Amino acid sequence: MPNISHFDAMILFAAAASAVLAFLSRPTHHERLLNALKTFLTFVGGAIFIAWVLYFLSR
Amino acid sequence: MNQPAHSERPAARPGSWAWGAAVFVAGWLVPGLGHALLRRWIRASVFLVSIVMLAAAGVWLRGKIYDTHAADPFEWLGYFADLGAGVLYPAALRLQILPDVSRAAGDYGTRFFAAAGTLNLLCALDAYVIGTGRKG
Repeated sequence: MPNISHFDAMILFAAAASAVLAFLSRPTHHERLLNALKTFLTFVGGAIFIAWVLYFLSR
Repeated sequence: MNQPAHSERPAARPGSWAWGAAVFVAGWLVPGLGHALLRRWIRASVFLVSIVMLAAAGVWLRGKIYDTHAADPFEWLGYFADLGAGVLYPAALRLQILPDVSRAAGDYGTRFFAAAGTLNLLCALDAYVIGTGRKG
């Protein structure tokens, strides 16, 4: 059975999805890079934030 | 520096509905092929690598690849999302070992493959819009 941590899976998904979405929505290379970075950080940061909220709610 | 990334090369063909439909079908069947036909090489490469990577991870993690034996509307949605991956869908059905969604990794795999399918449909739609000449 392949083993992958939740964090690794999140990074993989965030990287692939943010690259595709940036190339679909922005016309210049500079904007694409910036947008991909922002989307990636939003995915990862949002997930970590929600994880902490759920951690405190479950206590 | 902020020139549009595609400004340096001419369009592959003048925009038309038929050309748009052709690149849509090509882009749906093989991720990135629609943009490659439009000579958008960088976009085509990024779409190919990202979508194949997500789909391969989905199969590797033993996600469930939905088929026509859907039991409820959500499984039908999953089926249509998976179908969006084009030729990767029959390949995944063939390669899929026994799906294991009892573990988190298997569940991730199911979502990864569905995400690959929906992203590929978005890319094919983008190729269609460029092919019809409505987007540069």
